[in-house]
Amino acid sequence: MGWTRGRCTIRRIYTNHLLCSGCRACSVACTVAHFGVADDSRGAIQILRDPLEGYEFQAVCRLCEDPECVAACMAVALSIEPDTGRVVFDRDRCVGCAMCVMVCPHHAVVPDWRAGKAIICDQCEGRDMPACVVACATGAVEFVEVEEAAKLEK
Amino acid sequence: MGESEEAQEELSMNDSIGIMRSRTALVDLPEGRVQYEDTPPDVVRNYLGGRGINMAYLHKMLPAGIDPLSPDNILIIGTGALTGTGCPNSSRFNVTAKSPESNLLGDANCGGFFAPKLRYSGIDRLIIKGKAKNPVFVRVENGEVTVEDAKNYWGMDVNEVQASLRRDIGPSSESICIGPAGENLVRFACIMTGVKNAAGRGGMGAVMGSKNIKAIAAAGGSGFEIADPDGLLELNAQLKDYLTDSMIVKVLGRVGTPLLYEVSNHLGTIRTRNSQDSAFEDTLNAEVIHKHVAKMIACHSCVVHCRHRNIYDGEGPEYTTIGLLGANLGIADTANVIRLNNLVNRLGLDCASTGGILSWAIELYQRGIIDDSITGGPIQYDDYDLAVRLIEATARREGFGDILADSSQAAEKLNDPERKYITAIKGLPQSDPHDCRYIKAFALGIATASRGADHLRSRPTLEVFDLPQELLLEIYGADVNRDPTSYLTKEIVVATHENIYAITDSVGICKFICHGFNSPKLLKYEHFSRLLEKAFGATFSVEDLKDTGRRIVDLERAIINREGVRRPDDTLPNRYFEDPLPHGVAKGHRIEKDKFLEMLDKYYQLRHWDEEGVVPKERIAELVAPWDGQGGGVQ
Repeated sequence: MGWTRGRCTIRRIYTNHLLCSGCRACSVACTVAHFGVADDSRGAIQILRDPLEGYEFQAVCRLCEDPECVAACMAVALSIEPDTGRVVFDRDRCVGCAMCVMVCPHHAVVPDWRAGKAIICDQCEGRDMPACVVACATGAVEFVEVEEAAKLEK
Repeated sequence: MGESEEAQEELSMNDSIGIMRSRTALVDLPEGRVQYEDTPPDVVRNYLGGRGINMAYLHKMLPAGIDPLSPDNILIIGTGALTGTGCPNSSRFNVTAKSPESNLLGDANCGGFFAPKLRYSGIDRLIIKGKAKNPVFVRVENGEVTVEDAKNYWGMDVNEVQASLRRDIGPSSESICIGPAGENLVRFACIMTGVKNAAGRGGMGAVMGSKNIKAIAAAGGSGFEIADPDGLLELNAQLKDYLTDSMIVKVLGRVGTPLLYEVSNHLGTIRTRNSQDSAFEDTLNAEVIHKHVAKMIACHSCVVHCRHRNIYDGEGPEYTTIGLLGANLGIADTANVIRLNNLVNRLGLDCASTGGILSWAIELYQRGIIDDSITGGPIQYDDYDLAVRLIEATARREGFGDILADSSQAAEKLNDPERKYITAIKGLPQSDPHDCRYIKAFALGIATASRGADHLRSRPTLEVFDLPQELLLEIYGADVNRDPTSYLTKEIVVATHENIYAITDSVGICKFICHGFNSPKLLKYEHFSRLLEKAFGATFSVEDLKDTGRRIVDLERAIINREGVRRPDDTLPNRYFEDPLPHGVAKGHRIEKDKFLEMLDKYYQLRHWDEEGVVPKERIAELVAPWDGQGGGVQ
């Protein structure tokens, strides 16, 4: 099992697209929390939506058991934190090659083209609850234990 | 006052808008020359954003008496002060110009995703003058505005052009556009964004079409700074919890505005067959509509999600659409009414005026006032196929549609020169499907609304809630009459609503979560004040905001005064004075003209306008003073 990464409870952000209204409050809350800026395009959680095609769903780091982004990062900017299982991003090491953006099967790594850096969810370290979870008005974004998330996804 | 004191005062004024950015781009066609300016802080201080600042620019830049479809008209697209901050329902912008439908003030408020994107891309307001030689689109990217060729997009419907722009500019771009109706200068063409969000009223799409602009697309950018990020997140979260606890927000989120249809129908006030009747079928009730809905979706940062994705490849319908394309056209079939909704959206037509104008023409035909020689064949209510044909023909200005496309200005050609049978005021067909003969404050509100017969300027529906007198005192600051059919104190009711709606339109927040629109609770001046402080460090007190609301209403009045509006224009459709309502709770009610005029007098007194409804010169001097010595509105 990939989840024996430590003794702590591992939680991740679980999203339910059926409850997502597409409003992007989560993305804005993310950039306000991290950059002190409102700009939904740089949120570590993204709403992929096309009103013409009629869909909206969330993309955010799902803490893959064997994360392709970590394997692909040649600058060693991405690693797994043993205690929490979180994917940890060292922004200073990031060279902006965007390999992680390309390999992530969940569209959960966001390119910040202007800064030449990747953006990836840090679960709002230091906050009681991730900002996106707090901002969601429909309960479409939750913070749950990984086992619980796996069950919910079934 | 000494120079240093003056400088100090200026500094404190500047400080009080905090870090709020108000970046304005002025696009001069046909050259495509673009100038940029930061809207002077005093103007921001006095007019806030969105509708308010749009009006400040329009009053300053628009020459009186011009043809609204000529290059002299000025098209202003302005985001609200809080738009894009992530605070609840902060998705909105206003489009402002001289209206080709009323030949007076055109101003339409719209949600969706475009306005936040425009702000994130680095521009808060666009002002467009002149006319392009060929079809163009305006592109905003990373704070730069360019004018580009749109030859390949011309002729496309609303969905097609937006899909093309997403393909050509990028999937994260957002755009506003016109459909065939705007290209063909239909006087009630909308500006659209997404599948259904419309800057709907007053023919703003025709103004865009007259300038040869097919679309405006925003992309890229780095957003804008927030003064107190943690404070704003905390406040947003509190407000979200407060709002989503509210019953009206819950119901709107479940079934959307069609819930209002049943209310009006029960009262006997649903406009039916051009207001000849006032009750209609249950097939348009919210629960019935909901069987045709796939999902409820939201505008940017919205906590309500009142928009339907319907199962016929469209979004909607709203209450206004089912009322005016349903009951008012005598069409009861639920699926067909939703199909008509989808059709007007794709063509870029205002659903309210479309329903109002078609139903007017059909009554004239029924009465023998017009005949086949004009219409090209029989026209009648309860005829879905006919409605589709007429709507298509109107959007393309073909045959009889070419006459209908002129809205109320078709009165001469339709042999109704005195506009006896049209439900319109100041040339603008009434938007709300609610017949205003019962609730007197509602009637006063549409009579005085600055853009014509429109409920979104005041909509005093708290009138029917039977609220306790103490609560009314708190809301209106006066001992207002609780009876919706009384003419007394209604000027206070209308003015109170007008003032706060001017502010909700200026901060860029949806009325559905604002005080007074559907509920005596929800967001008020106090909340806007706190949000502006957390977002930008701006210090707007409740009194400042109330003053700004009054200022915007007065400035709009000054604009339409300049175009010639006087007391006789603040009136109601003939039928509201002459025919009593036939059904339900409202049975027997009409508007008594003498009492209406007394109400109007009191309204003018309350506003400190003269007896002709004209804003005094001294007040206008105050209203334009924020521009003094500040430049602005680059020529």
